[in-house]
Amino acid sequence: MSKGAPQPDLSQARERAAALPGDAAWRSLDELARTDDFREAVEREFPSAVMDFENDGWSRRNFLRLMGASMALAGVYGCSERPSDKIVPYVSQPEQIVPGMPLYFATAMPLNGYGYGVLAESHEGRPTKIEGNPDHPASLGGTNVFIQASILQLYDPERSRDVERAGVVSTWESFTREMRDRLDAKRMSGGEGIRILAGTITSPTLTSQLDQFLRDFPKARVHHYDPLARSNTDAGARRAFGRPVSTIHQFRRFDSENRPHDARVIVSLDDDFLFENPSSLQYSRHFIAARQVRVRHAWQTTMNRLYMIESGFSLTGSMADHRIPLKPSNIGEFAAALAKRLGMPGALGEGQSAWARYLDAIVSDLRKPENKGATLIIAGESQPAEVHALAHAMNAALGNVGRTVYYTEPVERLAIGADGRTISAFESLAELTGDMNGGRVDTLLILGGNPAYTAPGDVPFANALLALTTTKRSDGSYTNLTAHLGMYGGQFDDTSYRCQWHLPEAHYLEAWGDVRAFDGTASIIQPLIAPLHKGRSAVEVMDILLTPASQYPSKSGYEIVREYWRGQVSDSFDAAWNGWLQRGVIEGSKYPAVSVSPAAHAPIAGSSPTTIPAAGGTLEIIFRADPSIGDGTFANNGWLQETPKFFTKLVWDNAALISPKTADALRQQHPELADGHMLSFGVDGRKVAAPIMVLPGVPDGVVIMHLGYGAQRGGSTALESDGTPRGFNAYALRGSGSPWFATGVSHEKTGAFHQLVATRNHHAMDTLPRFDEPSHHESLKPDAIENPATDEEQREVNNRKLVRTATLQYFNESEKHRFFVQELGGDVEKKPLLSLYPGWDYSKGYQWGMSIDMQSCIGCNACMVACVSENNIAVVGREQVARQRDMHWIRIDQYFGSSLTKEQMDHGEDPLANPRVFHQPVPCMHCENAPCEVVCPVGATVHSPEGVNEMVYNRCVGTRYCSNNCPYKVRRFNFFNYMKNSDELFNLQHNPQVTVRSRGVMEKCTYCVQRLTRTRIEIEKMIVGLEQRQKALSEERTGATPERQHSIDREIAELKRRRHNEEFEKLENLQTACQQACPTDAIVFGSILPVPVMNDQGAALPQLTKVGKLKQEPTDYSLLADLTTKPRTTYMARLRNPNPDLEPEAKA
Amino acid sequence: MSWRRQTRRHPLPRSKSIIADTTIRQSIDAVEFSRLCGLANADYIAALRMAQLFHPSANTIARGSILGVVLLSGVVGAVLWYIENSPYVTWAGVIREQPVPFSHEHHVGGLGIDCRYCHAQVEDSNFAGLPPTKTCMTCHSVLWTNAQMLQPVRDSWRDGRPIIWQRVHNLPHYVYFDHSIHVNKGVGCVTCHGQVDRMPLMYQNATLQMAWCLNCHRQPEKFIRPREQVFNLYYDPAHDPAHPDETQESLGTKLIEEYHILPKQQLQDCYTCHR
Repeated sequence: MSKGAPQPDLSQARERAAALPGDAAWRSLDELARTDDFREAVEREFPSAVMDFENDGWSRRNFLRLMGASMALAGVYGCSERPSDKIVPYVSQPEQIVPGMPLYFATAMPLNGYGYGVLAESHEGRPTKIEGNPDHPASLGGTNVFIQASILQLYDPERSRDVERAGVVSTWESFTREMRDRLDAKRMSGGEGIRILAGTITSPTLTSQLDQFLRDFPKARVHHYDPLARSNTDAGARRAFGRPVSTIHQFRRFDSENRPHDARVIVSLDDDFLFENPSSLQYSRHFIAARQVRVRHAWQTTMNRLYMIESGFSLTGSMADHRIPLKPSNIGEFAAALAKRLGMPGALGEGQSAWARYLDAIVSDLRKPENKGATLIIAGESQPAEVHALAHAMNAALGNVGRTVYYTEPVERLAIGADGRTISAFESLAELTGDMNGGRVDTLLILGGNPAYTAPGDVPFANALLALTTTKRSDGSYTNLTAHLGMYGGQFDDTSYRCQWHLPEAHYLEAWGDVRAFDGTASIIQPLIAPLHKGRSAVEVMDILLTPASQYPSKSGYEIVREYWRGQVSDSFDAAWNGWLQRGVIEGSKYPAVSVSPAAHAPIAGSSPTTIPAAGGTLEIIFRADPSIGDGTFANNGWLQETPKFFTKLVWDNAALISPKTADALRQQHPELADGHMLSFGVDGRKVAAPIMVLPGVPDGVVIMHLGYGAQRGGSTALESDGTPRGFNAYALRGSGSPWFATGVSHEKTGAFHQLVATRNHHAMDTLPRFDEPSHHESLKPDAIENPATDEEQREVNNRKLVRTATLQYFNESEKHRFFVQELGGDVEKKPLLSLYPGWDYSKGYQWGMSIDMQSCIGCNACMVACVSENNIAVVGREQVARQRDMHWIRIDQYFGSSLTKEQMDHGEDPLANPRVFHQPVPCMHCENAPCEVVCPVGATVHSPEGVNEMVYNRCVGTRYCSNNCPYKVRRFNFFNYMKNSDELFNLQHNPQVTVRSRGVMEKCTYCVQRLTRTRIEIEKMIVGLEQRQKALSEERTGATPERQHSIDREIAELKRRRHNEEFEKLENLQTACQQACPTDAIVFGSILPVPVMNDQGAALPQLTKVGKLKQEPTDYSLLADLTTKPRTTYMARLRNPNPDLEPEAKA
Repeated sequence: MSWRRQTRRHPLPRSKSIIADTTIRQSIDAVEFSRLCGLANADYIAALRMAQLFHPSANTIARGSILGVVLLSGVVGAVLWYIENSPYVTWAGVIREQPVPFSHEHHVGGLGIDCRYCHAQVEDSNFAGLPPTKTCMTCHSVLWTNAQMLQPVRDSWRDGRPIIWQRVHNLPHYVYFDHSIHVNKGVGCVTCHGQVDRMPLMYQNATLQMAWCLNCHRQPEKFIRPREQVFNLYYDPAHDPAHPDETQESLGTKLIEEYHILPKQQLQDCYTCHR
């Protein structure tokens, strides 16, 4: 992208969008407006042809000189000695360790306080990869980007390595001594002035420790603050039921006979339940399971229906059947209008007239008798308590309680205010700050988090903390004790910097602990490795506070956690403990449902105007956690920084996202406003300059800002290369009163420009048709796609449709048609072209293939990060990404499409206002006729008999012809030796089963060849072992007694059954990294040929594996099929289930 | 008529002084010559005035040098090939210095300890495994307890510090060799590692080069033996009572069928060993 890229011409984009056929899809506004950038991105895969060696401090001439020398020495290199290596065996080999074979341990990851069960892969004691734990309710085997990337944080070389006191290296012992002396001195006074600030706490051990501490020191206080705390949700429940409860939604619940019952109509009031909730992995699995339409080998022809009313632009919104974008201030009004139509009592408004048709449709859907008790109203954390209370009341009225929703005791430890009332995290922090400024605090221990950075802009916590720390007595000694337990030391962390003590925090893979999931299920956090540095966990630090000086030293984390849980079970603790560790879940710890009834509706009705902002003509800001780095916890994580954020595909940055219409309006005041231009946004006098970015789909009048960027201190990844903050700090604009949105936003131009780097136009597939006749060369112009001259051309255009979509109704009517999915694309596929190359025999052995269900893909990026983690993929940095050199082997292409009906189009509604979104993960297609293979001059990319397109790094000389010839643009070239400067600690993360690539070679998705080789070897060993046993038995049979013969026969039959069935089972359990990470089963991999499975009668019948079955579904199609590449990776069309009342004639 | 014949009949003048005495005849020739060559007259005159660079013998030398280059590159190639395959590069047959001079000859040949006693995981893992100190100490806590040679083993056991061995069989890191599948499919230890029972100190028997690997991957029937004979260092198919009247190749062909050894095309596939 060139500097100062012109803003796409929005009117042109709008015009083109309106002219497109209803089911057409486009990547970005740049594509619609046909900007030069987009053309260049499509036409020139490697835009910067001139090699640049600035990064290495090399000149071009220098390079040529060395190049010549290295050519001359190439032969000599071949003669070099082999490097010598060492083998270090164990002194006494632990029983379960087999060097070379990885082990998997069940543990749990705490993320913003809530637990996710994970399985960690360990190679000889070195954790390398995190997978989801299928037995854990908050994972069900899936993961999200944060879980996948947490392994990198373990090896972050910038994590703090020592205790620091006032910036000088100190020891745990000195901290312990000082803390103890202080506590002993305060014991008499009941701990006046002692404060602990913790994040969201669900850990049973830590909760009991904090409670114990408050018993020891009754005047001490514990505050809870987490920037993503679920305060509104909690307040909503308290408002509705008069007591704190946790709300659990069940998109799919299983009855006593294990039959699934789905929520059939879901109305989400600004809740991004597919990504942002602590329950999102379970919710997305169950939500999508109810949408996976299958008609060949399984029978499911119904789908749930999701109405999404949202103020942001969320993944949930992108999966909705009907998405209604509203300003945040309008959502409460919408909820009230919905409640009124459902007959709720109270002074509820009618809502705006434009909403009437949606409201009517939603109400009629909710009221349908067949949906009784199978509907669900969800309010999002960003909405104020009133909206939550309304949702609870509506769920009760619709009979959903006990079916699609139930309530439990609160999972989190509640924040209690000075007056004994339950308060929100934001109030808790504000109270603490007030006390600090008022001189009522002299000892402050901050357990995790980075509150000096994440505090809302109107809570001056950072200044109060600094003042508290630096207060000195007349003799120069510090009056107060402040300590921060955190991953990063004072140099890299805003909170540690302001504290007297910095205590290094242990990573969850380094220390014992426990944590509860969203539904109360507790797990033991089991470390896989001893702390790499001197980190300790929060429970170990709390133990320092709890242990009297006489009982020094304090206990280890293992003893603390075991001691707590020993008290929870009556007998055979050790057996139970081992079971918990093995399964990763503590049996029976899930919270039971409690029966609550909505309190009187009075408090709901009179929605207090203080928290629902008044709708105004001015801009409103909504704050969301960053899709890649969360609340800023992962700012120093290169994998996450380089993961393109959904919708914007922005990397290494955040931006103020506005809709095209808002951009038009802003241009009235700031002409020539373009992507990357900085505007200074102001809320209540606090100002932050942010680069804007235009994104279709953002509600008009709304600015979306992502939290997590702009910290003053951070590691080298978190900051720009010159040490300035990366991105802008949206926390500064946040108010503690309404933490998720701000109204009355002012804006002014700063004149500054910040180059935003987004990958949305990278690796774009060229969908221009290649009309056969030379006379059609003219038609290669992009306009030909929109206005093909002939029917033939039209068909060809349609054939190249990358995204195919239909409504459920249309599908059910026409799926039996042989060419259903081709018709969605346009026409039947062309007859195959003749090939000069001999064909391959694909009828034997395992033939690997993949199916990607666009119906199920929610675009959460988990597969991308999982692939990076599994395959040692390099992080290249912002500047390199800007040159289209991102290295991801699987990318998620995202397409927009119009959601307008023909009627709405005719009314001239804006096609960019509320587009549909399609997520399309694109790994290597492993074409049977691979275009890359035939152009490689050195045979570096070849085909395997199992149908895998192989990349041989040692042969590759870097011509990049293969990538030029790849129509799917899935090959990645190593322009630099990106791994060369990788820290030794980072190297520990590398998967030892995968080669680390060097400069000058092409690389791409291998279908996780290391995993399938392992599975094939396991299967082959199993088969040969069982058959040899069988052979030995049949030899024994001759000459044995009849009884023995009989038993041998039975044994042989059993061996035969095992031989077949274990093979099938092992094949079914084989998963690629992307598939394993996927929370919604959108990616399925396996052998596409049937495998014999033995039935009860002893006959081996061919049976299809999961992927083979999916490939027979009528929705299965190939990308760019008319090129006759015959890809092994195929896609399933996206089906929608719109309400016929709203879209009577919709086909797609 | 070619330019070459022309020059032979009328050799170009050799020195500057002769050019000064250019005869009429030469001038006529020059016109004819330039017509034949398609050169402009002035160009020819310029050519005449230019000093001659090469002696006619240069032609012979040039011809000879073509042959010379071929021969030389052959020689260089042969030398490089020799070096590449020499123990200097491959380390084949080179004894590495080890912290403990462990003798396979003594333990395998002399005492008859099975390979798997120490390399316990060879049937299960890609890595055959080196014995932990504990394995050594099963015997050496009672045998040769004072031997100076075994001091590092005792030190290791006492201090809990591993013995650091020099790796003998060292494949490049982009090769993913799996012991377990080879052993399970009837590739004998001796096939790759040689007669370790005759190695007082361990060395690498084969070159471990890709050509050597492919030697078997292209024709496994020449190397496969019955699974029960994998750990036998002296197996001879010609004298196997369990398989009478078989040669290695006929037996190998049968075993390939029996053990479902992958088709040769797949055995030679890049991803079989590299990823």
